Amino acid sequence: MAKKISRRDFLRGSAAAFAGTMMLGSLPMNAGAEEVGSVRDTINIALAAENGVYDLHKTSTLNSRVVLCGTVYEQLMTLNASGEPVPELCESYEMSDDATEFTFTLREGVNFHDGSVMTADDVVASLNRWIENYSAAADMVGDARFEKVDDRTVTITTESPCVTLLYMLAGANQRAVITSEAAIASEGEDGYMTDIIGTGPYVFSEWVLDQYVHLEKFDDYVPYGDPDEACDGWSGYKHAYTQNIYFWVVTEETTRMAGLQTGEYDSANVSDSTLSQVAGNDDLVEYSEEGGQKVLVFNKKEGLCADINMRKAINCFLDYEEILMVVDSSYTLNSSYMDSFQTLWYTEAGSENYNPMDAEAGQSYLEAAGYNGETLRILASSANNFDSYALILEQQLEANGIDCEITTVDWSTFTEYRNDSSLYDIFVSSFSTVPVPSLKAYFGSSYAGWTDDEGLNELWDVYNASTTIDEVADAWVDIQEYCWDYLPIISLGHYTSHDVMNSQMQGVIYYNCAYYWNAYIPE
Amino acid sequence: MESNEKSLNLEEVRRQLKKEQRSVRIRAFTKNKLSMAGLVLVLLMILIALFAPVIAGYEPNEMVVRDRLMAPCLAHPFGTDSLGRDVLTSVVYGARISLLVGFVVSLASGLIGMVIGLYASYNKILDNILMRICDGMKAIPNIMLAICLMASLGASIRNVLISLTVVCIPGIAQLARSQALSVREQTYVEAMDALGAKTNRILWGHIAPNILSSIIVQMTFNFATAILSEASLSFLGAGVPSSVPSWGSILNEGMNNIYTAWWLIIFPGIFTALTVLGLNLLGDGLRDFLDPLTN
Amino acid sequence: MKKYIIKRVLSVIPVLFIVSIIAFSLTHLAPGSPASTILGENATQEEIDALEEEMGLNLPLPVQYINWLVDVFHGDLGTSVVGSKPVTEMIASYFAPTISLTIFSTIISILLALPLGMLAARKRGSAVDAAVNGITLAGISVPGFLVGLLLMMLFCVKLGWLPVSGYKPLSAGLWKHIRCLILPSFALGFSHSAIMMRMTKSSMLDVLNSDYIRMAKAKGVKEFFLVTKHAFKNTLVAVITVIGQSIIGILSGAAVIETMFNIPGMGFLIVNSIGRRDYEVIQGVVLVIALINVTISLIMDLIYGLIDPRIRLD
Repeated sequence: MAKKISRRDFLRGSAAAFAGTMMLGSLPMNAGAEEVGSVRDTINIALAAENGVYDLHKTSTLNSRVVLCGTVYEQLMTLNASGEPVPELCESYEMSDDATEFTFTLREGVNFHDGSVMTADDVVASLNRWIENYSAAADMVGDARFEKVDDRTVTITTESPCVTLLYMLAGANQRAVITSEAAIASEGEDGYMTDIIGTGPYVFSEWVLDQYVHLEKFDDYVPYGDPDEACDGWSGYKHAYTQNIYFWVVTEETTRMAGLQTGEYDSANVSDSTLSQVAGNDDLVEYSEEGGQKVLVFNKKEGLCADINMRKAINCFLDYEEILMVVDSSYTLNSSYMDSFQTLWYTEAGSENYNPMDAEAGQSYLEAAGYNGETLRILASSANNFDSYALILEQQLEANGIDCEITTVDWSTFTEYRNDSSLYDIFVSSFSTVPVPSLKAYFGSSYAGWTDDEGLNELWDVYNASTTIDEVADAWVDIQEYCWDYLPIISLGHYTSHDVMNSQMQGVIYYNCAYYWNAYIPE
Repeated sequence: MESNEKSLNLEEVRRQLKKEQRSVRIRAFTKNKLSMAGLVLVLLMILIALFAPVIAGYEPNEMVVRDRLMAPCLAHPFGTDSLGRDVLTSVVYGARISLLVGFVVSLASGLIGMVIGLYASYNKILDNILMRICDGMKAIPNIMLAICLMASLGASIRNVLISLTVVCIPGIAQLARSQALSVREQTYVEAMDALGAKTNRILWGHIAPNILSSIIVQMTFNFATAILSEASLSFLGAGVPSSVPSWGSILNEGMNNIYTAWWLIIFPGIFTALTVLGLNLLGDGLRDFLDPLTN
Repeated sequence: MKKYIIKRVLSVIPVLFIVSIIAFSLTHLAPGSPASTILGENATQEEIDALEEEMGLNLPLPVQYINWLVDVFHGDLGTSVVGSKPVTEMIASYFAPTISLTIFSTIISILLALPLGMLAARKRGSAVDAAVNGITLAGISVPGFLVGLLLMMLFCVKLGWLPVSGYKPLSAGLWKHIRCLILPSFALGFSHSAIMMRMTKSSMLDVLNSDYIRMAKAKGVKEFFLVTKHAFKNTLVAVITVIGQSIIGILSGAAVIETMFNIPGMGFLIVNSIGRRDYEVIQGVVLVIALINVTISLIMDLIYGLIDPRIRLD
């Protein structure tokens, strides 16, 4: 029988051994250096898509991160298994009591792939480029920028408290990766760096668009942490046992699965529907993990859903579970906006309004909204089965007397349509894990859906003025509570991301999704 | 006047001859087992499409998500898909969509193509412009042209119809033009031309009826091509939206669930193949019947 | 003849001009923009607008078209917005797989079609004839991707004989190259071989029934010799037409099959580029494929002109 390991199973099995200190990530198979004998010199990973941009300061695409983060690029800070920021390229850091002054002492003698040694200048240039290209970071720090104190020290002083800045540096989806000044100067006409230069254990050695990315072991890598200890989340000693890692772009799911079965690929992300193939195949093993939120985003600028009663009515009519199970039979139902392993942020505040399934209350809200047979317009992209969610949503709402109309478009069109408030009332989307709640895109007043509410903004002010992590976490509980009443979105639940791997492969860091810098296959 | 009368008599003889020929050919057609099989298949599909509500056990698009991806059983003879829709229902309602796509595309492209071809055959300048445009369109592979069109128009049945019609027009137009040119060379048309008959009258009264048979044969094949193209478009994610039960979109879903749900491929696959097969057989028979010279 | 060739070659220019207009207007009329693809799922409208301006996508369409056309005349098909590579370079690297695929599937379909078609014509009404009819009908009626999928399940997953996907260039070795192209070539070539088979059979029948073959037969010329030499030679014209058409058809079908088998060819490139709204790549690929198609028909026409001088008069 094939093994199936989910985080929960893993936790149960290992809780005693690790005394609950290690929440997830480094799986038990993450061995120390001395146990590894001779290993295959290449591992092959199949990616479902490639957007062609590997300048991580400028893109938030998950697949680009899977390829480069931790392997090619490292950061000042990274996340441990419970989602807390810990040092990576810095030796130590300090945050002032009012959370406005941050000082980082860099590790010494860290080599870039281009042969140079990391200095404060490189770090300042990288991080300021990141801020300038990432609106969420720029919004947070305002005009403040990183400055060099000496060759090993950088600092930033912000006007208002930025308690979550460390989280952003460690795990924002638009990554604060550290690259060399020379690489930044390699920006092409289109604004992307042409040289992908990091400090990680792998070199970005070859890239053929739509075909593959080839990473090769970097011999002059300077590791940190204890080689005998397993990684804690993304943090820890990087062994880079394997000489070459190939990321193949394989868009068809069936092709990915078939390639896994023939051993052509050692790992691939697949959907629930092909997982049955893994059962009974001893060569393959499945990993499942919460990947983020499935969300209905309301258009609050104009149209039917600008009315809070309409949103409440819709919330009462839905059967969340039925919507979630349309695409995947594994999902988590809870009112938390953040994922369950993010212990700091996880809260079930507002759960009384989560999945109420109260058609009667719904009808009275509908009446209060003055609904009179108008058409509710649902926008969905055909990518990632969002159109299936839309279909079941339509069926549930029509059963309660709301007339619906679905517009299904391809992903490119979708990203354009969702920015036009005259085109829809609801769109279906998913939002992958973010390290701090303020990074959930739907909270942005200029992001599709246009969340801009006075009550909510006041709560965000409290959140932003917090000077300690505990304060900010409390502020977040209030925000989530408020949101379940105000309903800027409906958070249906958390979807599961599935990876299938060669059961021989070890050392994969499974944290939010699979990362491969310690992966190897014994020969 | 005199010559007109003569041509009338000639017409009479021709008509008589044609009548006899036709009865011979009808007999040949009905004796041709393959053509008859094609006709039966196509009629069967039309019946299925017409009586879809009777055959289907469920409403189209009725979803019972908790029964998703069920293998064929008594309640769902063709199984269910990932949204818990009954596949038999989707397949029979899908027959409506596929036949609609085939019918509208072949008819619309046939008509438009014929108009273009006819006028091109009568005017040198128009001919040059229209035929170069047709050449240009034909130079782009069908599916590529269709996906580009679908990307700019957006996914809907109407847009699938438009895209595939556009793709089919140049072929028909060029066929109509070459046929029209050869009919024009026939003496009686030349004579009418010389007598100064109105262009429209000659085109529609004399040339059109004579090229109609080869156009109809081509339309039958376009019917089949349109059904296959729709399936290909759906496979590439550029076809009708998944809320519409078309064979192409069921097949597309089958691709995503190939390991778990063979029934999502086999049943719509069989229906598609049989319909296209029927149309091809019918087309062959029609060609022998209407247009014996080209074979 | 010379005049005919010149006239025919010149006629290609307006066709390509039309193609350029079609390609340009189709891609630019599509909603969505490459900027939003690049920026990822969390981009706001302002960020998208800024990038669009940087990429020159906010100029009026006719201006963009003329800019593009001028560049094309200088041999510059533009730059892909993703990966910032020159389109010509990208097309060059995606060209070989499609050409290999086209050649292999044409060879497969010819190898299937010619002998079977000729045999069926020779032994009319026999089991071979019936089988050929069956194959012909199946080939025309079963969609190519269904053929591909069934083949993939059988040979790759169940039997494990062939790789599922992953293109290997010729430089990796001839056998490796062929191995990864067998199934897709077959899936592509199947329906065209069906048409070719039917064509071979019917034109072969025409020839076999013609007076001069009957005469030759009566004279006692050996049958095998007859079929291969005389009849075959005479069906050649018809067959060349079909081969030309099927190369064009295979190029068209490549979009589906290349996506399915993950072969980095032109069809794969265009499907991916449409998803990314990579305008210049789409236009470039459409233009190049149209050029290939037009060239093939040009060569066909010139061959006919050589074989049958009457055609030149048209």
